Amino acid sequence: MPINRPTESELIEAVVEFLQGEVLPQLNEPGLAYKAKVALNSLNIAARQSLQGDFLAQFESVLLGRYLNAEGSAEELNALLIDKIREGEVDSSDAVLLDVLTTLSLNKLAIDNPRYSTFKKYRPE
Amino acid sequence: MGAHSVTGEATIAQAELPASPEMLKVTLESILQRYFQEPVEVAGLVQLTAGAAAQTWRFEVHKASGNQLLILRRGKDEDQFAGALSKADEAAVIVAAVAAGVPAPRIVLALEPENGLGEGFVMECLEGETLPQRILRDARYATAREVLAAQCGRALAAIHSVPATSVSHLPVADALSQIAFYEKSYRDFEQPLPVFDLAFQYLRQHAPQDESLTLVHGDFRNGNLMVGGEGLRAVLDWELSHIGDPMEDLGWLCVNSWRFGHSDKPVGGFGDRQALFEAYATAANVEEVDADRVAFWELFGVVKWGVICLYQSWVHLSGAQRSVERAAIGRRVSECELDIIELLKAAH
Repeated sequence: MPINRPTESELIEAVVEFLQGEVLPQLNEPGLAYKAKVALNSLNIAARQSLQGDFLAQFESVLLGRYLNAEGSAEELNALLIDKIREGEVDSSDAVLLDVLTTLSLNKLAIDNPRYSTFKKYRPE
Repeated sequence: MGAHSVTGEATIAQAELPASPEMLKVTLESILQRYFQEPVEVAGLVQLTAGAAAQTWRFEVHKASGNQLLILRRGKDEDQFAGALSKADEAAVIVAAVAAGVPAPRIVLALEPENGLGEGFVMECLEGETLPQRILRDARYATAREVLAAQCGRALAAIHSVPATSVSHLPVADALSQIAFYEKSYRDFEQPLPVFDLAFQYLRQHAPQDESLTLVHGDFRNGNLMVGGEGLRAVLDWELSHIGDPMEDLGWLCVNSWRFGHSDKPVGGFGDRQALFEAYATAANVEEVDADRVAFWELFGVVKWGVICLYQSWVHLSGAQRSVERAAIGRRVSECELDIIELLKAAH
């Protein structure tokens, strides 16, 4: 049985709207208002991850698997790649590797901070 | 270096900083009376920052020879991952830097143990803006933004000219020892980030071996610069200074995180490298700045900032100090990953 609506991201969005619209305007102490904004930002990250996270983890395992010629979860393949770097089998002169890592870090930033300057250079709004 | 062992004791030291404002006022009056050799009254004492183990206070000292606005800094910033200097050592660095012509707040006196206030110092209170976003956006700093990069170049050349004998109390931290420290820290956090492994591999292979070491400020960036309408007024926060490769300061100043969104201006979000390098070379009386070496230290700076973000979020995750801000900073590591890849691409 699927879990009832609102979905995970819809619930987080409802909380974001409540905090933003009703709580934040009531906070007069600048330090507390700042922390509330940080908290809201964290909730927005969680909302984006709940929508994109599963797909991006799958995408990561496919991309890393193809580069490493191996199979496994994103976690396993990251660990395998790190082993290869630490053993000196690959290094940063590998342009294909840097392209793979660029795509993966852009995907992380799409969740963590799509307003980041370097992210916007690659994916303008 | 290495104030915090990463997997061991993670507690942020809650050092006792006693004294109510009333007690502090009375104690300051007795210290300053002896220093100025005349009756004084301390007025308008306000606390500006309250860290876990460090405080900053501002007050005015009233005396017959003229009133003066002063700052008291006391305690030790235990929140600095790589370990901050004691306030006495920091005061000694600022004194040496001011003597070499660096714009920085003059030290009035360092606290003595018999004062009963712990480690600390009193310095002059300067007027100016330190908030990076205001410095980068407000119209009143438009002229300042034009000249800041060159002024930073001259200030850095002055810092790096401080005679070694006057800062012999500082720790030495060259490229290889810092890489080793941050790489071990990264591995201890057990977050698998291949981009960081690639960066450490590159840094180890390209670390400058022929470093001529000088005084390094250690945190020379937008945020620690006090600015007025005319430009740079003072270089602040000397608690991370050490003996190292002078190009470390130039690289750190260019790290993308300290451009606060103005990434087209590599120097602090306000200037370009050419202005910084030319002013530095002229003031330091060298032919030119080694741009590759600065690029090495910029990459090191991004990696270092990334490890600091990992550390901050780990302080939360380990339960040492739960806080939504520390939790959130863990998700800034991906910003560093993309910037590291950019710099590695540019290096090859």
